[in-house]
Amino acid sequence: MKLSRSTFVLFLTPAVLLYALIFLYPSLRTAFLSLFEVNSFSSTAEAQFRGFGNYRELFTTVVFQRSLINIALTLLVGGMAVFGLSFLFTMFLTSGIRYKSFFRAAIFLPNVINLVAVATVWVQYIYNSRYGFLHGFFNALGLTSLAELEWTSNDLIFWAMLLTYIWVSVGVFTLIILAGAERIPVELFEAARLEGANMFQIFWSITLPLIRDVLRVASVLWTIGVINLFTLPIAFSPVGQTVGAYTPAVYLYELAFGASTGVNQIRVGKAAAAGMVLLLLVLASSALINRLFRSERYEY
Amino acid sequence: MKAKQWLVVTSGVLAVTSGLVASAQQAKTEIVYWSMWNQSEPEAIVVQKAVTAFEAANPTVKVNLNFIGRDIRKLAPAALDSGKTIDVIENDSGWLAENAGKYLLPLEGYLNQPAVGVPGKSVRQTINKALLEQYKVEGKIVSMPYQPFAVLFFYNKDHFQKAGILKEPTTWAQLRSDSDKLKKAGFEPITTESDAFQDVILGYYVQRASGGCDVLQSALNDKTGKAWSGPVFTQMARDIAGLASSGYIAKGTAANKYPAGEQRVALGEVSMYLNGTWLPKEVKGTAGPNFRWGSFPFPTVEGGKGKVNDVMTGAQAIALVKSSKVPKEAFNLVRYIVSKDAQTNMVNDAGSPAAHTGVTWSGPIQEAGIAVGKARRAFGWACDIAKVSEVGYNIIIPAFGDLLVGKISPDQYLERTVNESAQYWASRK
Repeated sequence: MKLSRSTFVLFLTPAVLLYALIFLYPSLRTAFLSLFEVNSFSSTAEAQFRGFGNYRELFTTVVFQRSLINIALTLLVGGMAVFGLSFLFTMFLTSGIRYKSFFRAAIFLPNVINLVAVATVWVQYIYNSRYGFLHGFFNALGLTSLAELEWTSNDLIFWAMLLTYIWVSVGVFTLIILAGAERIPVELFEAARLEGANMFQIFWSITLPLIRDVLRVASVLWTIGVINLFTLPIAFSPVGQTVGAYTPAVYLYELAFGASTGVNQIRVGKAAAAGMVLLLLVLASSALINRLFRSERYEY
Repeated sequence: MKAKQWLVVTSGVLAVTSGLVASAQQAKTEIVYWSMWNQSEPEAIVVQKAVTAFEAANPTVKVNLNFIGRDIRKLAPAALDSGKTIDVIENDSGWLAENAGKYLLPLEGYLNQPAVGVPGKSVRQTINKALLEQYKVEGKIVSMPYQPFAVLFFYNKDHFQKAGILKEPTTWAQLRSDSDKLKKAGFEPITTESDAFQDVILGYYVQRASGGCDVLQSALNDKTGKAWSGPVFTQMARDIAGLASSGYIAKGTAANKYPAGEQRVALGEVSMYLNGTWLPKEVKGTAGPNFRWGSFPFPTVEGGKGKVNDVMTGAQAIALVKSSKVPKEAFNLVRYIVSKDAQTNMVNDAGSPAAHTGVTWSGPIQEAGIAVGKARRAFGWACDIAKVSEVGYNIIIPAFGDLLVGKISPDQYLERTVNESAQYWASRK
């Protein structure tokens, strides 16, 4: 049955309207606001046109520069750790071990806990340099300098936050990669083993190519999640945002709405510019990932 | 009359009666009140009681009380911009003047109304004058303080006793000497958080050194950044670094995330903490009922013009919104929030200070109340460093924090603050 043009329009209109309402209009309005010095979202009566001045200021603001470095490090260092651990856990879970469901649930458990609760436990207990878990653990191993490390000081707070983020994220990415790996027919692995392939060769030549699509999706999810990282940095600085843990989303939020302590001069124009930068980063990185992970069809 | 007819008549009577009741309720004037407290907080219960007393005394007025919480700072301006009806809002009086002043109604015309519960006195006469006049917008009072705070050194009296300290320090030299005695007695003298309260140390020192907050405000607005290496900041850097190098700053302070530092004081590990008058209440559960709190003002510094009775203070305040259609009724409600009964409840039930001149602060903050009452001069939180917050909180305070814990030297601190603030202003061009 051939569908008429009017039927297409009828079915597509709600989705298009929703897209226009919640994405297109806000994006265009944000782009507009980013060209002004303005301190209100709705009232632009006192706005002063700045052209690209907000963007210029943004990229020369030390805190914003630091926040971009933070997300770059999270993307790369955190990405390698999360995906590396996810592959390791996938290999472990697909190796035929007993109680696979239990281990799978245990690996996923950190992702289930509320992020604010996770941050509170890590900041106030695990990282505490006098009686925290890591303090006791390293002391037991005789590593006193590591035991007394001030994890939540300004110098180290980013790495402390990254470690927590890796711990939280590994579970969900393990499940994604595991779902892709479990689709691969078992006969391929059996045939490879019969041919004398070792675990690494099987992983590199069979598993990786056949989960390419899954990896693409996982990479996009990871990238978008990191670029928009917000809750964890806020939760790691309960009162005032520690400079070392800034991310662009946190800086944007403080500029747009003010902070209890910290940046409390509302500058919606600069915040809008930060929002546009984040949007462009997400679009660019998604396009790059799609190019790197171009689909290839495998028949098996 | 047949049953069917009775049914019709009864239904008609009921309909008319409920219509009358509904329209009677609709006839009540509504005041929309956005409170900064969370519903479970003791201050919220005090506010609720005051609202109930107001409604009982004004049966034609209904208060639509909303406990917004601290997010009111983010939500209220956006809500008012979008045209939402809000008649009364609350927040820190400095924040209200600085960030919400354009929304607020000047109160000059209302302050001479009679105070509730104090015959013969006006509202103006019953509120601490220094707090009332601390923050103005275009020379006019725009908010009524009702829950003040003061920033002082809170300390453990038992520690002082064991260390043989008989009198609280009033000069920087005495603070150092007492810290030394505490250290020798086995206590860690001073702590703070790495994400809070470092700003009040800086603000107080600058006020004591220069006699006011103008030096800090000038430096914040100095486009060259060079003001940060002026004599006040040079002396401050030297003195603060001296605390760290002498071991008077508790180990682990650099890693304290609120409320870790406060808890260390409550656990009896650290002796002194420069904090607000909420400190004893916040750590009540850890400190226990036998903890002996003391407080003293920030000491004077060598060659400085500020005195010990210059107090860093402020208040949570209540304000009327300019666009309110019921300002008279709204101020009537404000009279009940700042009434003697409500303020007494604030002290007794919420353990908070009061702005009412007829209500004494009690318990661990009694000494703080006396200090505020005797204040020669009031100045804002951290000498109002938040007025240029991107410089203050993203450049100066992080550098100050590193100086305080001995991570950088005074020269490195001065160089960093000069260069980074100059870079910030260059980016604003």
